[in-house]
Amino acid sequence: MNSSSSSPSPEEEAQLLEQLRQALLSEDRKAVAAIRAMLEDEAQLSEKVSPIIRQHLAFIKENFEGEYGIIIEEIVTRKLADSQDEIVNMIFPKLNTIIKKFITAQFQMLKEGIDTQIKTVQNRFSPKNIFNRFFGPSDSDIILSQLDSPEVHEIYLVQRESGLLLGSYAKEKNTDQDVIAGMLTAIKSFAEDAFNRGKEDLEMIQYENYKIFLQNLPSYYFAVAMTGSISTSEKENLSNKLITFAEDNVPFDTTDVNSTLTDRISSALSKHFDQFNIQQ
Amino acid sequence: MLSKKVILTGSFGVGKTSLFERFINNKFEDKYLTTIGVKVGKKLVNTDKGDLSMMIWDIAGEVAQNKVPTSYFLGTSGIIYVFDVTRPSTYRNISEDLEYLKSINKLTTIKVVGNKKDLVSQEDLDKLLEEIPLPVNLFTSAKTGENVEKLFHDFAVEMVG
Repeated sequence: MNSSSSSPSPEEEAQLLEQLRQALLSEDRKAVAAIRAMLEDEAQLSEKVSPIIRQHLAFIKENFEGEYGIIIEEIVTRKLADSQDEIVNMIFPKLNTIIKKFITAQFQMLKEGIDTQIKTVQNRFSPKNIFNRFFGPSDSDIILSQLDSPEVHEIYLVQRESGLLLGSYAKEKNTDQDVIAGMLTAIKSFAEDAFNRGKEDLEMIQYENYKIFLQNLPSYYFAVAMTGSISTSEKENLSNKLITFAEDNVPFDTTDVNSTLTDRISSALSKHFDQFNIQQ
Repeated sequence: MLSKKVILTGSFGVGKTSLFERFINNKFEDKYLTTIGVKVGKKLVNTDKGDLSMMIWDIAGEVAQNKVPTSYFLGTSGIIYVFDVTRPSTYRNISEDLEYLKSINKLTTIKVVGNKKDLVSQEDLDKLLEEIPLPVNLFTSAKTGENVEKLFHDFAVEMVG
């Protein structure tokens, strides 16, 4: 027996390896070729994949809240918290319009309701009503104005240039009125200077439901803090009352501000304005 | 008891609000917050000649006094012009500023005050006095409170008298 067999050449070795691969991988190669053919053929691919996608979509539809709800909720909550200002800025103009429309509609309904009630209850042929029907304000306007009637809460009499308090009246004293008088004068001076309106005076400061009506006189001014709506005639009424008060109670020379003067003016203000009703 | 208006004015960051807070509330904050517009405060000052209700207006600092709304200075009995002893730019225009303030209100008393005394030595202050063309009434430190009470008390005595 010849045991001295020579080793294969590199070509023979490569050929043998290829034969081995052919024997071992032929099935796999057929399978890969079939998969590739299926992937390249849209119809075949769709036939295989579509049911799986449909099944997953159905699953997501059915279990979306449970699977993703918490995550989405967290993201939305975080986003909302991070961009509160932007959201408010975006929503506010629309919300404001809606609220305004709602209030207008409610007021209109209220007015109509009041009118209907008055018409049924009152004697429509009384001389007063006949007069008012033609020349006066409507009943609803009168009642509405009474609902939002102006009420004086505080009055300050302030030296015009220095901002020193000459006297004050308040239903409830809870703030430092000297400081308020100074700050009001600073605001007034700033507004008058900033808008450079020559000799024109600031006449009203409004914030939320509060209004500060300013009655300017040559060397001092009144600041009246009030709530409610004030009509032109009521404003005139208040203005007249303040001017009359000044003529009767404020000395001509108020250069030196001292506690005797401020106590005297404050006491007079209480006497004149404690029971004062702007509407009368 | 008399009431009088006193103005604290000067360039920005010189310590007007710190002097105001130190005198009215005996507080000092290292943090700098610029004053917007004006802040009004009140303090009762007792003097041998009588008591005074001092209304103090702390005005937002401006580089030049003619930038401050004129109406703030009207009706005032005293002006405290504050500068910062560590920043020459805050006392460079002192003559022009005081001239302007006197032109607005001829009768008012003006005091010139150098603040932040705690940040410099006595030698620096002496040197500074030579540089400034006008007399300085007082050097103060709002931080330590040095001379703050004295500043307002002296002013009150003058006003009551």
